[in-house]
Amino acid sequence: MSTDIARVTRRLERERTARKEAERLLDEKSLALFDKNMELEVLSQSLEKLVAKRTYEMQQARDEALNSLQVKSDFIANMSHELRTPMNGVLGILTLLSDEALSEQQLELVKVALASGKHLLGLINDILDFSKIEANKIEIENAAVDVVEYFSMVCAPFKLQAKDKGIDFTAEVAAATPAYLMFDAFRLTQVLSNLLSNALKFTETGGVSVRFAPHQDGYRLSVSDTGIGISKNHLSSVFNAFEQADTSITRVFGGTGLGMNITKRIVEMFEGAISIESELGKGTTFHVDVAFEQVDIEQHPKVNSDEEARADLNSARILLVEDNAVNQLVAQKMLANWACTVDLAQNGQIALDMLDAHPYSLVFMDLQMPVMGGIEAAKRIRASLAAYSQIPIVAMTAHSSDEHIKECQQAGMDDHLSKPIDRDRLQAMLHKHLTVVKQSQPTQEHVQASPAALSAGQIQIHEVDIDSSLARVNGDWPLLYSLLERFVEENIGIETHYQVLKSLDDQKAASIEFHRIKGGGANLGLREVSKLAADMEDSIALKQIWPCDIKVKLLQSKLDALKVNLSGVDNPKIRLGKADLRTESDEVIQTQMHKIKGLINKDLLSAETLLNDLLTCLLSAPMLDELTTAQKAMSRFDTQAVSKSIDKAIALLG
Amino acid sequence: MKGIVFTEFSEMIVGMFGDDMLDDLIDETKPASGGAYTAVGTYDHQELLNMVVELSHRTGIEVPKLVHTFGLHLGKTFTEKFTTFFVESGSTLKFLRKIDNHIHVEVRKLYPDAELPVFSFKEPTDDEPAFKLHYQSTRGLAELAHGLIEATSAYYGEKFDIKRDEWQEGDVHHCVFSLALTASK
Repeated sequence: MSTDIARVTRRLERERTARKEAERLLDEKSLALFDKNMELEVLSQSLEKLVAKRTYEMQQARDEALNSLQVKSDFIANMSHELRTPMNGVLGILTLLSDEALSEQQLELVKVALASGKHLLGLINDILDFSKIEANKIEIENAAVDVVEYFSMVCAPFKLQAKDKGIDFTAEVAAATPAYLMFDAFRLTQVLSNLLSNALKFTETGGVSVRFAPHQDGYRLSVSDTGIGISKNHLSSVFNAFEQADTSITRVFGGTGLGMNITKRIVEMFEGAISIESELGKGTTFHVDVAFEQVDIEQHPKVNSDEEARADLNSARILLVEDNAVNQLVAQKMLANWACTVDLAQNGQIALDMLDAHPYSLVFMDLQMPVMGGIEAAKRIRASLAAYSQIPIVAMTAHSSDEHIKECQQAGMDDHLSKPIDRDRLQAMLHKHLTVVKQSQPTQEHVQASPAALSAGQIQIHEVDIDSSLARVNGDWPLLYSLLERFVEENIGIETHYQVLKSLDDQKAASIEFHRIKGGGANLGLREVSKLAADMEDSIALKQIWPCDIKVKLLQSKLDALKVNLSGVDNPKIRLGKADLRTESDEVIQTQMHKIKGLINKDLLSAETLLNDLLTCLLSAPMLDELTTAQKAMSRFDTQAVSKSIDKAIALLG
Repeated sequence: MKGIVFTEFSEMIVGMFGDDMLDDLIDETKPASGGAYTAVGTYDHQELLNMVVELSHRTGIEVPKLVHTFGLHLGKTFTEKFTTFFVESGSTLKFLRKIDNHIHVEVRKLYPDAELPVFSFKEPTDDEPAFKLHYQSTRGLAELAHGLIEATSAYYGEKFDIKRDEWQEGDVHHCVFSLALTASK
């Protein structure tokens, strides 16, 4: 070691300089690192925003796509109407013409025209049914049906056809079959009619038989014929759409090749199975196996169908409510066959006036009419205090979609007759409804047992005023838990959602959003959450100022914390019952429903949000049913069904 | 040139010749940096060359010999400080193949201003069974590279017969090291 002080001092000085230099470099690097980090953060934030924005845009695009889908299905429904209305005119007039004094040759021509028209109508119906099934627009609606009566009704026209053709026809319901079964009569009729018309079409000698009997755990409907049969290599393609056993079949027997496909699909909707046994030249048997439920007769009193109880058709006075001149003519003339008195009303309003003035036995009601439509008129009749409030009403409509039929039922109409009017069906309708005695169904009030109630203080969740919110739901803890869970689920993305709305400067949507959180939060005892949301709503709605991000962050963190806290509490695992939480006036509920309606085809998500909010209000049972149906439809993106339900819900408020 | 070369050179001088020798070299060559080297800094490579020349002058040891010895020292330091690179390579040749497209890439991420020599290589063939490593640099420190290669093979416990073929093109020094394995662990 050197003792030279100067040397040591220089060495020390060098070390110090080196250290300082190293520190300076370290600072420089740290700063560079920090800057890079910040850049990354900004980048990641903007990416997140971008993702959120894209998501929003995609949702918009999806809603638009759904909207155009709606336009398409509306088009199909309208096409149905447009096609059926002129067919009604053509077929009606031809039917009337065939009753006139015609020469044999003229009569033959009219018959051919009538047959062609009916054939065309069948094709239109097939194609419409096929499109509806394709679009999943058909729902099975089960009701208690008198089995024997049903089969004799459906088979009657085929019996006549068989007689005309000179072949046998037998229909049998096995004795072991219950008197009443639950099924969708309209759809089963489609199946049966298709099988029967095919059987009759392809059978020239021998006969056709129908049998309905218990089979294994369910029932088997068999339709057998002694017709031309189907070759083995064609058996597998019988149920394919647009295919017939052989193209020559189309030339000889006609048809779209859709009938069997529709039949099979309907059977599948019944959760049943269809099978074929066939031998070329010997005949064919179709088996439809279904598991219909038996109905307790006590619960479904048989409508009195005693012939003697029926009023004489000749003395019946019928009110025909119809604005279309051709339809008026057709219906009037047809009804004239039974010598009953028919009065005409041009629209619902006139119909009401006429009901006030004269006693009627039955009303045939068109739906689309000026001044007052059929639905509205039916509702008014049912709501009236006059004697005619219970008069049978049969809807006559070219719209035969399930929704229309359901809408008619809900307006209080008893039955439905689709246009073009078929004489046999019209007669059946007259016989069905022109009865002197009509037993009314006893209405049963269902009293719901309230779930196990909890007293205050048994459960605690941080930052949730459980006592007050429990009190609000009558101590129904499972309900409260579900509501809290749902609230968290719905709002967990609030920060991102807010940023998106802010970047789009959509103050209206943000204001609605915070309003919703404010209301929902307050009801659930989330004071802080509610207060924060209220602040932000005020800032946006009153001052048109976007609140600072820190508030949204705070709200987000409260919701995150709530989610964690909620998961720490035992889930009562009981499904949400009646959501009787918040009491709102009918006006508020109605306004909200109109808002929802306006949003359905524009912004389904917001509509859903509003609907969910509405479901946290105290609602009447039918209203709750309707809105729950709407909620389910929303989750399927079935905007049409949502609109329907909302309309009905609005109508419930009058 | 990166600071670690200077600090390691200083370490080696102190270890071999004592503190006074380092002082003397700095005092004599008067480097612009004042000789206050830090591993994270960057300094003029001429300062190192001046010190090596001065050291040779004072000790009577040839400059190439000194540079070669420094290469061995620096290589050993590298195997201790940057063990990961060595462990993941597994052998001398695998390591040498990775210098240009892996190790120097990583160095540049940390020190974008680093001026690094270029190393390319040629796999052995039937005609020429030795692995060839081609060094190119304006610094002319092939001797240092040689020491580093030896330190590396020592780390893996391998021995190579190393031949050098050197020439200069303009400013650039070229050196092709031919490595033939003679022993391994």
